[in-house]
Amino acid sequence: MPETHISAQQFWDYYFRNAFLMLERKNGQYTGQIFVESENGLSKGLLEKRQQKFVVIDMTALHHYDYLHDGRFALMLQRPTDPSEAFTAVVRKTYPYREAAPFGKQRMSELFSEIYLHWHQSSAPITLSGFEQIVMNIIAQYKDSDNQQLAALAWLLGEQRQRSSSKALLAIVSNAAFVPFAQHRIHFTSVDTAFSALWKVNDKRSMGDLITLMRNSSSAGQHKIAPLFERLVSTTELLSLERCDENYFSPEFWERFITPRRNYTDTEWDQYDTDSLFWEIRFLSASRLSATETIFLNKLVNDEVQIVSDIAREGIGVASTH
Amino acid sequence: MDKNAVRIANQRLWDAHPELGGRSLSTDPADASLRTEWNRYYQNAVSATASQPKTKPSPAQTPPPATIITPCPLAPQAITVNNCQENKNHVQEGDIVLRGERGDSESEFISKISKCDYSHAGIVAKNERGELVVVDAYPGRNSAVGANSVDDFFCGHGATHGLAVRPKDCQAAKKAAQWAMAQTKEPDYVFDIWDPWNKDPKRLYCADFVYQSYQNAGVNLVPEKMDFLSDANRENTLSAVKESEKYKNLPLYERALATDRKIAADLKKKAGGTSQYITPCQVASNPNMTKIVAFEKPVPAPATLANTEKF
Repeated sequence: MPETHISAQQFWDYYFRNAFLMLERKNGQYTGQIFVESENGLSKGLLEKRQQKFVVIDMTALHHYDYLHDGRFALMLQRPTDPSEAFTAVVRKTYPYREAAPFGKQRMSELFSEIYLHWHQSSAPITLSGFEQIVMNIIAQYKDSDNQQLAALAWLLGEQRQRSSSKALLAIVSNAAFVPFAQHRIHFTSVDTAFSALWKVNDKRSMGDLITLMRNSSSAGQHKIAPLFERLVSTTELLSLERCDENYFSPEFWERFITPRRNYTDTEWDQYDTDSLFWEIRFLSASRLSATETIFLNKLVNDEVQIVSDIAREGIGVASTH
Repeated sequence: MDKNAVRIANQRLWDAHPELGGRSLSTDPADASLRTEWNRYYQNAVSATASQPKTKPSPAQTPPPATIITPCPLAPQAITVNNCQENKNHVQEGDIVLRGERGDSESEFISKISKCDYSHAGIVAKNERGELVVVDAYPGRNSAVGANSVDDFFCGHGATHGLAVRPKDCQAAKKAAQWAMAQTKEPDYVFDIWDPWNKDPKRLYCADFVYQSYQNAGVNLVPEKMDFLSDANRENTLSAVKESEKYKNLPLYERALATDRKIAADLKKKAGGTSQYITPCQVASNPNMTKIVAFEKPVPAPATLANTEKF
């Protein structure tokens, strides 16, 4: 089947829409496979036979893309990294939302005000560990009416992108309706938000717990957890449903991948992440690697995504070429 | 000066003296006692802030908890109408409206697998001119969320039947409708019924949009999504596939190869790996909803011998 050359704009549109059925990042290019869309841009129904097409783009075209004027990239740098500032910005409706929160700006502001009034100890500083503890406290005495506050908190933890938050986020997904013997049945809005946040905090050492959870879940849970593994571990090739077929939903498949790396330290996972297929993970890797990890930071210095390369350069003290 | 303490002192003074109408104090001797009072508030605020390591933001106004239901004035008796244009005379802001199209194969297939007789949902809102419109997420628009007339919703798109339900909490209904209307100005909604990563509220479909509208009013309409490949629903879904015209028209060899496992795997791939979604019936079947109008388009009478004899 012939390959269609696509522009950087098209590539990133497909990327952010999760449109790639298959994707490879190697030999100086990306090659992918997507469903052919009908002329009006609609995907066809479940009963239609859907045609696929191969697309290709080389790294040069991606290097020239204007990342700083595309909010999908640029807003990553504008989010407040201090939990107190992030909290204040959400309450004041000034938060630079890059990925949509589970609710609109107004509702998010209301929810964080409620959280502040009901859960936050008045004399305590606003910290990430404080938010993580509030999540655990809400789960301990979970009521359906707490669901929206829990979803809002899960979103904030994801935005902070710290490994420490994985414990609280795992506690949410471990109490989802798809876990037959869970203590609670936490609403799907919180659970979906927690999955998204688990991808953003990227704590690879929590994957063992996720495997156990996958094994203890119904098929609905396996359908939720598999896409998280796909995002956390794919490197040169996207480990997608199309690529892995029914193995995709099997805990054993992902366990076979994780077992040889079960003793990896956080630093070793950061090194692994320099090859991630997902630029968000490479960005985290560049932020997390210490300046002494020059071999790995150097791999990211020429990354096709400018904000990844900039942060890697910053890490090793090299000026940006952009 | 501590800006935060200034803000707090201002607020306290204005709260204590509404007659000031939020004005700043002047150096006029008439304001002397007020300035002393303001200074006291300021010093208190500075001491309170100094005892905390981080600045506390002032909480936004907290809405009433979602669980408190404010009853709407007398919900009318549910009625049935045959004329699609009559629906607009019975709906109000915040009502959830559904419609179905019998005879459309894809709509019927979705209805069967979701066990719901309706294939589309929207929410009634007021536009800038105060007219009632239906806001919905629909494919083929630049931004998926848009508003059209109530008549368009029930009379267009081959609708054969419909339903309008009203939440008992009219404050939440109004808030949900206002949020929905505001979204028609957002340019970046994408229609996507099968969102594999399933986390982005801006990639949505009709029932999801209605659900989100109420979420933003503090109400969770749906406790769990429908899973058309769960153990309980799998058999129903597979039989819906096999009853579809498209399946029946497949060459014999293709049908022979289509095992249940293969059909389910194929559906999952087309849906991006997920088999869960919110159905139109789910957003309308919440116990806090009251049925207002049922619309049923009259079925044309079959040609009788007497009729044919006329021609």
